[in-house]
This record gives sequence, C-alpha cells and structure tokens, in this order.
Amino acid sequence: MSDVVLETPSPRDIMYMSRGDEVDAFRPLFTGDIYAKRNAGDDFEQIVIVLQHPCALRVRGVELVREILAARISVSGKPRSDWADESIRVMPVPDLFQDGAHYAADFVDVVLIPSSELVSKWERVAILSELGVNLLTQRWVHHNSRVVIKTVTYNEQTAGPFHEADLEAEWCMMLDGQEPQGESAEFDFHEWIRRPWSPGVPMSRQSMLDDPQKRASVRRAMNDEVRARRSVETSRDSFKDS
Amino acid sequence: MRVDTSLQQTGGSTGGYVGLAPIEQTRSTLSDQLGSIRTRVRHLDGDTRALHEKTYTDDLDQRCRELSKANVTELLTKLNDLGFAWRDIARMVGVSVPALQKWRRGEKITGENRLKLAKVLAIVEKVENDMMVVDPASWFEIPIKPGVNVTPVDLVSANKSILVFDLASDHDTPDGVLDRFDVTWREKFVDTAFETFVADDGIRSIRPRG
Repeated sequence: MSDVVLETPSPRDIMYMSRGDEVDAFRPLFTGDIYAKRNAGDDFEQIVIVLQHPCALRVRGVELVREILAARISVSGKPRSDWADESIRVMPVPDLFQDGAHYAADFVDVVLIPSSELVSKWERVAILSELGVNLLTQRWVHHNSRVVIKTVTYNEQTAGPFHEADLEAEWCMMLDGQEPQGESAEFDFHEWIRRPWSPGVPMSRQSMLDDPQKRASVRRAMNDEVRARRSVETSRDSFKDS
Repeated sequence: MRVDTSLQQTGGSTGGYVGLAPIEQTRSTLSDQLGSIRTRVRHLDGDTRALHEKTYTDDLDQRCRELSKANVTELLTKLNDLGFAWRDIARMVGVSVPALQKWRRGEKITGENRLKLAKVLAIVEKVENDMMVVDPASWFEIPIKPGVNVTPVDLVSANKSILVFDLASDHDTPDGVLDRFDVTWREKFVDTAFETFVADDGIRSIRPRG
C-alpha cells in the first residue's frame, strides 16, 4: 500500500468535463461542480467546489440535501508537475477560467451553502470529468483519513452515479428543449430510472448502471423512452394547432 | 514444420538398433531442432502479425472513407443507438463532450474530426460484423480483464485500435493486449489494496481487500 500516491492528471485539462459557457445547464448538481458567486460589480467574490459524495447529495432520489458541503477556491500558484508533492490540504484547480490563472480548493476552508441558494444564485463555472471527481475524492479522503485509494477504485464506485447524471442531463435536454424548464423533466427521469428493468427483472435501471455490462441496455431503453415521449408531445402539439 | 526424421539414421550402428543415435545425442539434437523451429515460428509470427495489422489498417481506412461520406448527425446517432455513452464517444474521437454536443446541434465539424468520428464507427462496425461481437457498446465498456480498469474504449482513445481487433478476434490474450497497451498496467490499473463491493443498502462501496 505504501507505493500508492496521490495522482496527477495528464494532461491536466482531462480533469474537466466543461468550463465557462460550455457547462451543460441540464446536468444535475454533482460532486466536483465549481460554483461562483458574483458581487455587485459583477466580479466573482466567492468560488467553491462541491465536496459531498454523489450518494450524499440527494434525499428521496431527486431532492437535494438542505445544505451542500463545499470548499472555498482561491488563486494559487502553478500546480506542481507531480500532485503528490502538493499540500495535502488542497485540490489544485488549474486554469479554471482558461485564462492561464491557477486556483486551488482549500480543504480547511469549508462552507455549508443552502442548496436552493447554490443552484439559483450561484453560477456553475466548471464541471469535473469522471477522473476529476475521482482525483478530488482521493485528495479529500486522504486529507481526512490519511488513506490513499487509487482513482481506478473510486472510478468503479462512482461510475453508476456519474452515468446516471449523464443520462439525466440527456433526458432533460431532449425533453425540455433549449433551456431547463423547471423540475418536471428531472422528476420524470428519476421516476423512470428507479423503475424495475422489466416485470421479470426486479433490478432497477439505476442499479443496472453500476454494471458496465448493462449500462448500454439502459441507454438504449432511455433513447426509446425519450423518442416515445417526444412523439406524444409532437402529436399533442399538432392536435392543439389544428 | 516436421521434425527431421533423418535424425534416426544418424550415428553408428550399435547392437540390433541400426541407425539410432545414442539417446543423449538424440535428445540434444532434438532440442536444437525444436529451438530452431521456435525461432522460425517467432519470426513467422512477427511477420504475419505485421501483415495482419496492415490488413486491419487498410480495411479500416476503406470503411472510414465510406462512412465519412455520411451526415455527421447520422454517424453520431448510429453510435448512440448502439448504446454508447456520449462521453465515451467523445473520448474515442478525442474531443470534449461540449464539442460533441455542438456537432449534435448541427454546428460545424472540421474535416479531421469528421474522419476521426467515422473511424470510431468503422472500428465498432468491424468488431460487430467481422468479429461477431454481440452488443458492441457493452463489449467496449467492459474491462478487458476482471479487476483491471482498462476497457476497449480506453484502447481506442489511445489510438490502439489494433489491440481492440486482436482482443475481439482472440488473436491475443487479455494479458497480452494489456502488456502491449501499457507495460505498467499491473501498477497503474489494478488496486491490490482496496476493492469495491455492493453493501447491504445496495450501494456500491469500497473496502480493504482480504
């Protein structure tokens, strides 16, 4: 176990799924999301990164917990080439705004932010990739426990929730159109993903996402479901027009 | 590749067994000959592998040229309908997820990226049709070897589609493919200290091994 070290993304950009205006508004709040709050002068006065594990972010499936645990992010020097040499108290956040400036999340400067405020009054400025989330979890767990677990193991553990977030974003985008239209599509998705796969297979679609052998089947089923729902919507719209 | 039977006629005549060499000498000669055969087989394997890889590449290029004539949305839809995650498609093409989403909305794609996208679909179709892999989207997502966090998606993302074909057609073992992918795979992609398991509440969790 002694040779397991805190890992480094290479190239470092692979820790991000999206930044700035490429952030997908339909994607549900997830571990590693970076939010910023603007002041009256329209500058970012606070930047935070969500620390809670995906499984600890929601209750009853779709409802966010009342408060979200996050770490404050501030400007930092260029990250070391080997992140094992970085302070164990921080998570490097390099080139966050793609302007060459580097940041770091400070694990000893954590805050609880009401979830309703975070999603409505803060701006999501970056979403971490699966590797990014695993790197954050690796450093956060190490900071709190001095245990280093390889990101490949975190990857196995978080893959199901990560794929679910992908599917939810896709579902909402396909059924809501250009902009999120409130929570109805989100609720519909959660109702659908929690249903048993079929009458003879009690395992839910959500549990099937844990298994790499079964994920593709869930995606195909969701594609069919979305197409069926869109077709009903189209027929309803043409009926209204006539 | 037959062992030289003239071996039996070498050596002098002793007793009633005319033409047979002393057993020590026979064993030594046989060992030399088998060693020589193994060397020839190894060279032949190297030559045929190189030729085989060239035919893979030529075939892939041909399929890629054909597929690149199709509409980009059509190529993306085919992959998505097979059950591939957009994230995995983006990784295999070598672009970001937002870039892929832009193409889905009809935004312009460069010629180079169009060819890369066509190549991904060509690889998938070859594995499905020529190597008889049922449900290719699942196959590409499953680790090559249990407990090793490397999938065929990783091989394509690393531009090593030859390894995908060798694996799908059983021309190489999972260990052989992993060695050719990254000789340090045992250190990088295997966790000997921790493992995941499904806990009593049905949630996948992590615990120390053993």
